[in-house]
Amino acid sequence: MATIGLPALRRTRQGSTAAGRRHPAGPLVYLVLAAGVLITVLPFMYMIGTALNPERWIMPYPPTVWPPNATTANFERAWNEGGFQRYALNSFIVASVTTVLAFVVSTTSAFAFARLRFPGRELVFNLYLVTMMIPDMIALLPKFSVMRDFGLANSWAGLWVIYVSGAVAFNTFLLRGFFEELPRDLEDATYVDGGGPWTVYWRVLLPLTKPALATLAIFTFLGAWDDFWWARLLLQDPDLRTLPIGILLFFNAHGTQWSTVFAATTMAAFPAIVLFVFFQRYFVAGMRAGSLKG
Amino acid sequence: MKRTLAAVIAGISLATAACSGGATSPSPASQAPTASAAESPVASSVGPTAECAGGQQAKVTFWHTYNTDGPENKQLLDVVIPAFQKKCPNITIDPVVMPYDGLFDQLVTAVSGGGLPDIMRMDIIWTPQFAKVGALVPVDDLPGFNDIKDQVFPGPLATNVYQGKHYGVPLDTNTQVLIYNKDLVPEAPRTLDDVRKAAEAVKGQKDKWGLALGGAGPWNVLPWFWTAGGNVTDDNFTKASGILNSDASVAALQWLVDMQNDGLLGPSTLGGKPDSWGGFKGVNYGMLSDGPWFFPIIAKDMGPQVQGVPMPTGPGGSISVIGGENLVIFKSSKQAEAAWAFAQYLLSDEAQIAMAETGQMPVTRSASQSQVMKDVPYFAPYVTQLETAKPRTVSADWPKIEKILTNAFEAALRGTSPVKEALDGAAAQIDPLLAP
Amino acid sequence: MLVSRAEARAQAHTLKRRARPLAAALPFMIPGFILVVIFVLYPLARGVQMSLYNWNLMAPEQSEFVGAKNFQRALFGDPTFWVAVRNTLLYAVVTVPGQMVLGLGAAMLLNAQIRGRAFFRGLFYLPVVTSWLVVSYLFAYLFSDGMGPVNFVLVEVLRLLPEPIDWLRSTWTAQVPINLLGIWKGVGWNMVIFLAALQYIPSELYEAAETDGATNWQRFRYVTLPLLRPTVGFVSVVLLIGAFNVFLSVYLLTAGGPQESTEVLLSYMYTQAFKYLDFGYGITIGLLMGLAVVFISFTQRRFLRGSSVA
Repeated sequence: MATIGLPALRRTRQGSTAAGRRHPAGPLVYLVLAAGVLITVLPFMYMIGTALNPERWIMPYPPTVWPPNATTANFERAWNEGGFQRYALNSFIVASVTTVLAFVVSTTSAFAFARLRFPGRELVFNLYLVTMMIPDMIALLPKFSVMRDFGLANSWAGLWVIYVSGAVAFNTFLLRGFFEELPRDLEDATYVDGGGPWTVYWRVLLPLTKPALATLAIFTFLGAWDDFWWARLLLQDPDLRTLPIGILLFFNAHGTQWSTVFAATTMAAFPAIVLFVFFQRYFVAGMRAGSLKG
Repeated sequence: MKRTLAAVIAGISLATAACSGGATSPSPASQAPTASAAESPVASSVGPTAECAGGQQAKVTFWHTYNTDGPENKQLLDVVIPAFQKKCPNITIDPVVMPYDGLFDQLVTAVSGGGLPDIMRMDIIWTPQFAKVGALVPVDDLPGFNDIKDQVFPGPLATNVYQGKHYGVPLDTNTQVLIYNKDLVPEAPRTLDDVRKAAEAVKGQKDKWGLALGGAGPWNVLPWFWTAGGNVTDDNFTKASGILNSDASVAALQWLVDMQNDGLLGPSTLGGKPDSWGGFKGVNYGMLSDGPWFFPIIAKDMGPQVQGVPMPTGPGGSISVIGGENLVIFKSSKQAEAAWAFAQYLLSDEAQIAMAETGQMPVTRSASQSQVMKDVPYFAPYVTQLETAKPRTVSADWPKIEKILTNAFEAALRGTSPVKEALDGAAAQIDPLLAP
Repeated sequence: MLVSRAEARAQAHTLKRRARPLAAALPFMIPGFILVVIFVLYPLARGVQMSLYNWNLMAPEQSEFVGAKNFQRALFGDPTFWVAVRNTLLYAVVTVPGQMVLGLGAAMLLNAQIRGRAFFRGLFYLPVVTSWLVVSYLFAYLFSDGMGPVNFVLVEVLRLLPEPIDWLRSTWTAQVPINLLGIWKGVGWNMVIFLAALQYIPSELYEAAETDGATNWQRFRYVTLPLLRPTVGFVSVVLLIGAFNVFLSVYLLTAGGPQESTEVLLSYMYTQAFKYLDFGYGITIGLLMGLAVVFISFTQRRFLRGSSVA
């Protein structure tokens, strides 16, 4: 077992089957799923119903899923007004770069905490955990000052620093668990063959933890895509604004353009869903098949 | 920065002003410009001076919350700012639309960490709070302030006061008037009794109510509370005990509570559906009180059966609440003189009238008497109402007072607490927040 | 014997690695570490410091040092603080298990080879990608008084209730939409983590269990669950943190009302700090909450680790 090589692993992985795969789903499963879908989707039907409502400042009363005189005008208005398209592009750039940077920083960090031994490892790891547990709002004002001291206010670089630094602890915690699940034998074999930690990281760890990495990508992208708190505080230049701020602009002092807000939100959810559907392909069983610990 | 201001006020040459214009952190000593400044020749001129704040090049960042896609923003960008820049070519205005939602947090963070604009159009109820933390420039001694003071309505001006000084000037104002739908309320109600009778006539029809309040907070309740004879504090905002819980105040709130208990108030009063706008538009509600924005947003396609009239008369008179925005200059600004020049321009008849065309009610007497006020059909009752409208408690602790009042009004309207008890409790809580 | 020779070589190599463990680990952990120290730990330390002061927003150096006064005020002089503690705990007790059970269930169902798997996964993930801001407004709308959509369904369609409930207007009924929203929004997140974790369970184990004639439940109970234990530990800590940090939904649904009775710790902290500008006290509330989370999480981790010795 211990001498199993990477090519061998790749072969077994492809030939393997997961437990669930061989059990075709019965009608009961679909019934449960349908109930879940109904509960999940019902609020969204009201959301889309409101987005289709021709009256933009008022929520439909009595409530209706499909308003009379339904119109796509709100989608058009949201798309065309208030710099929405530009904000969407900005958000996409900000979230994509955040995801790539967080991926590099977090996977290396988690590798160190999961697979390498160094003095103070548990201490630092627990410190990371503590930073997750204390609400970020406590540090808000000092953090804002630090960003300004580093000249990172009013820039995307500032957002990247905030998002990536804020994600390190969580991602390390997340990935460490998955990395520790991997059997040591592959790694030891790599060391025996003369590889260093970088080889292990790049050739063993990353290829074998795709489900975990997909999770990381999904969460990190979404975190940056959805954030309005820091984006609002940090970005003063309207040209740099991201989508959540664009949506906030539809909340006015004397009233809210509900139909426009809901139309804009529906559109804003779209890229995040596409990204999820893309990455969920990696949730495929059998990654570890044939490389049983022991 | 403050030193720069004082220098300009004193009429010292441009060069000096430009030199110290780059000076940084404001020192406590520089907070009060010399008293003699107000009497200087520059101060006596009305509107922006020819040299425009000393004549040096300046870029002024202006935060506001006009709707991105609204007519106000368009008017500001296409008419008002170009006209100002023609007058003052040395000053560039950089207007930034801010999301109103969460703007307060953003300001607080910027006050602490930096990144504030030079000048801002700010909700009137925020001004004393930011004055208290020391973020705003007092404007009493700036050139031309006394002329502005004489020109603007006292109510809106009073919302800028903190500890006897002005920390801003009003930019636009508004108030609420009674709006009714002739389909449900055929005759304009002139008194509180008329309102009650009209509501009783509507009662009994399915999903229909006579009067709807937008909520139980002070903005929505105070016009009725005041009109019915109640009061929150004395005129100088120094105490609530004996006033908020006086017999007159108890009777005033009791009037509203009776309306609620008799089923004459719509569910929107306590946050239910339909909300006041949706219910008015859906002809669920016959009457409500609201600001001038109600007409372009909601009433515009409801036809002539929707009418606005001044608040009905009650034991307290016909009293409404003042809303609107102030212009404030931040202490962190290095372009305070230029920002002030812009503020002065925004208070000129030219700018006030231009913005009035888009529904922003002017704060100066002269602009209020202009033709545009007659051209905008729905302005008339508001102009009348502003004569008697009152500001909410002007206090740096307004957010707390607002919460206390909301809790008391809500408890009384829900019947979870007798009126007298609710107001006694609120008065006792508000007293310590009011500095004598 | 081939195996044992390789093992011996590996052990020798491991020893060599241990000679300079820090040097090997540094390049991997240092970028994240530096970011955390500068942009997370340092601001946090400064924030903690603020809890000891009557904080002056404009001139921090003029802030008045008040020692433990803010802590005394929260713990002994402020009933609203304890109301917020109660509501936060309730939210944690309801939403953490709620999300986990439903999320794991969804993951189990959608790990199987069924038709439209990607579609179902995407749908269940939908609430996660929609902003808190908007879904909070959405739930406020769904649970609004009078004939809001939920009341409409309960009264007019299903006829379960004689008359509409004012969900958001009283302390306990308001907990329903608040907690439901927390679960509804979080199930997809849990599903993602559990889906990823399920991929790591070797199929041989299921095959062996099947050979032994184990039922579906037995396979879940004796194979899946034990192997998911680390993930359950991770998820419960993260969900606990998330539950204690509930804020925006409460703030937008009830604003803490009526009469501050639905206030949670973070919404109360926010009101004190950002509405009343009392940052010293606001931060104290947040800090007390953080300490509680640290205590609960580490106790729980110890518990989970202790009981997972296989």
